[in-house]
Amino acid sequence: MTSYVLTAHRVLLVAIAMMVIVVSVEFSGEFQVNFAVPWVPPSQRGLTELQWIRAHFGYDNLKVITVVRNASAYLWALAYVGGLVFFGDLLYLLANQTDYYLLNNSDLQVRSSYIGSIQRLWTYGVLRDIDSGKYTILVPFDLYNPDVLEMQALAPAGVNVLQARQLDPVAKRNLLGAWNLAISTGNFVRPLSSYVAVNSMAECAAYPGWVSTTLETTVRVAQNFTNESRCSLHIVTTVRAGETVYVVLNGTWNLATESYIGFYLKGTTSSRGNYQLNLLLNSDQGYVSYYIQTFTDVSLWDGNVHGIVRELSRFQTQGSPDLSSIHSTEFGIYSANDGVFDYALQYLITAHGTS
Amino acid sequence: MSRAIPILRTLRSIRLKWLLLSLVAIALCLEIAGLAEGFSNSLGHPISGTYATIPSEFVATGSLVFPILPYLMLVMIVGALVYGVMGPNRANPIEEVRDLDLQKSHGKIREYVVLVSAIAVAAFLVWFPRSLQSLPIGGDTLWYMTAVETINREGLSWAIVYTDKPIFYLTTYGLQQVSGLSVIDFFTILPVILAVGATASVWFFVSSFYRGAAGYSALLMATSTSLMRTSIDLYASFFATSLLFLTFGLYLRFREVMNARQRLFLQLMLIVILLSYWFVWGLVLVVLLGAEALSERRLRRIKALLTTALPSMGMLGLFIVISLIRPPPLYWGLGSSFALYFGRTTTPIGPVTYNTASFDLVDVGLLQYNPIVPILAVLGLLFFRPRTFPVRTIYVWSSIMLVFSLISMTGLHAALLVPLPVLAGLGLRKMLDTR
Repeated sequence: MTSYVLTAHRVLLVAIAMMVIVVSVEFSGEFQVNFAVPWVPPSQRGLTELQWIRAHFGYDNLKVITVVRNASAYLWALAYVGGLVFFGDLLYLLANQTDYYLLNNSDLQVRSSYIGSIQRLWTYGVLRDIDSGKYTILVPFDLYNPDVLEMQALAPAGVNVLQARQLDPVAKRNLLGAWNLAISTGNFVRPLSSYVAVNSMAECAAYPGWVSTTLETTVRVAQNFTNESRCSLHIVTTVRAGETVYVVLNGTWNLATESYIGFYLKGTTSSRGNYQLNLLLNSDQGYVSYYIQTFTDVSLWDGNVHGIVRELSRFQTQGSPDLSSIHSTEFGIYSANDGVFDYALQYLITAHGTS
Repeated sequence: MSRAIPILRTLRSIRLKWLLLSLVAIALCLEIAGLAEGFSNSLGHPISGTYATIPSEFVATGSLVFPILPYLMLVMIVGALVYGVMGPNRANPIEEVRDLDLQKSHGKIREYVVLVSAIAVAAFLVWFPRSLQSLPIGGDTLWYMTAVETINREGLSWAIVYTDKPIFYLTTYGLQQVSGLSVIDFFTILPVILAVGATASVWFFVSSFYRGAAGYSALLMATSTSLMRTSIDLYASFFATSLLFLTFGLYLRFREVMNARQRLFLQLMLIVILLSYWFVWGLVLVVLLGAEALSERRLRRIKALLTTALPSMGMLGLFIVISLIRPPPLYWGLGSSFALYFGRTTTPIGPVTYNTASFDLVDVGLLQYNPIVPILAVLGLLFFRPRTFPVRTIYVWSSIMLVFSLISMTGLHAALLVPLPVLAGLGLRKMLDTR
């Protein structure tokens, strides 16, 4: 009996030991499945841009600097392109100035990526010779997503890849100053006007022509909220979940020679969840052919004034729209949940390069 | 404290032991069922059937406890450490423990079978997610890939001149060259190699003072979430951890009567650790010094230890001098990290220092993934008091790493270096001891 008890006892103990190991294996297996995953890869377009750089300039080319400003993109660029990868804002690199925002960033990964990248450039003597013209500075468009001011320092180099233009040091410093002003004030319209020729798309006299597509939207011409023009458009709209509500200004525009479109926005919303502002340039009367740009940044709805400018060439297209024949300009609000959007628009402009 | 003795005596009664073991078995069965469901869901194959709700209810109940587990585990481990040091005196337990009642030959074979099983389990668990992915796993993997490519372009000297872990990078590069694999394919098998090394080194370490528990510790290391986390992309840490266990194991084996050849070997090991991960080199020395300081004949022991450490300390000093004579960007290797303390800059924009260390429990959260291991570790601490040098070493080591794991700047690496699998192996072995 004692022997039997001892044997049963032993079996129980061995079973417990085996179960401990099985439980540990399960925990580890689950941990691996959940956490042992690739670092968030760039979009397919982003990877294609890196492949293009690698194909045209070779892997580990120490005469090429690839610029990215996302910590994940930095690591992927290092792995795909090798050599010199700068993590940070393009204009700081061009002006060879320290970006103290990144240097003192509270995100350790951002901070170490920035320091790591400038240490590498320092080691290879790049920072000293950044103005020498010895280096080709490349910006993969999708990975970097340059804004309109940064675009002033860039020229096309390949499929969705841009290259830094040769600018004199004063021009670089001025551009960096304008960019910093735009970033800190959220206003790209005013700083950009120093670099491009601006045309008004709609004068105040045309503003009464703005109409809504629904009865739950009120549209009225209001006082200006910036000094750029004398009037603004005030819109209050109730958007039901999943719907998009537009305000429309009909007219005829030829934007074939224009590069940018911009406007001022000041708004708030009660909506929670996902929502976005759409800017639609309709090429016909039936929403068959149009250009559309979406603005998903929720900080645009903080009640402050935002000067927004986008490149027309980056608009998505539907059908076969024609920039030389735009028949209506439309601002739409899409919201995944019910919500009220109270916003004002002013100074709708187009712009093109002066050179 | 005096109440603890009757409680422990009561726990030793056969009936209570049976009852407790049965409860443990039932709890583990439920946990296996619950985890199986969670794991199956993770793989995209939810369990369905008549009793399918039982595991999900278990998981739901368990998830209520999960948020407090890290705190609970931390308190338990700290409590066990304090009890181990300050609890009532007992006879020296380790030297009393005999091996399982097996014939010697069978015992040895079984030990190696357990070791091989542990290695196989570790290799499989680390390889498994890589078999499901086509892209490299982990963010730092991309950086390590770049480092290997850079050595390929710049030559071996790059690892010495521009990194503070030259041996690690040179070993990685050498393995990649020997394997003949592309860099991306090589980084699929590197973590598997390192997992095998870490598991074997734990076995080596524990077998140097308690062979009967070595297999259990190796198995628990192989299945620990700390090994899984390290395998994702902390390869230098992984490599250094294996060296840490090996060095501790060697020191324990050589400590009593150390001949000149053994001392030289240990000196070389310390240099290798220093050139692989200086933080771990510092840890080895601090832990051994701490454990020796609490030993008999401490002055003689500490002197002997310092003699062993002298070459590696001299080497660190040499690298610091080089970094001062040839500051970055000319030389940026081992020693440059210390140049800041001598007023030298390591960045193109001058000295960069951050005082962002704060109290942070996030990394101790690593304990929560598998609560069984910390529970067994607590048992290990309760059963094995710091009355012998090996256990004292583990106590000092655990205490230091627990403190560092609570500091935001060092939290992750320190939490991964708490020797929980070793302690859990000791606890499991003792729990299964039928005598």
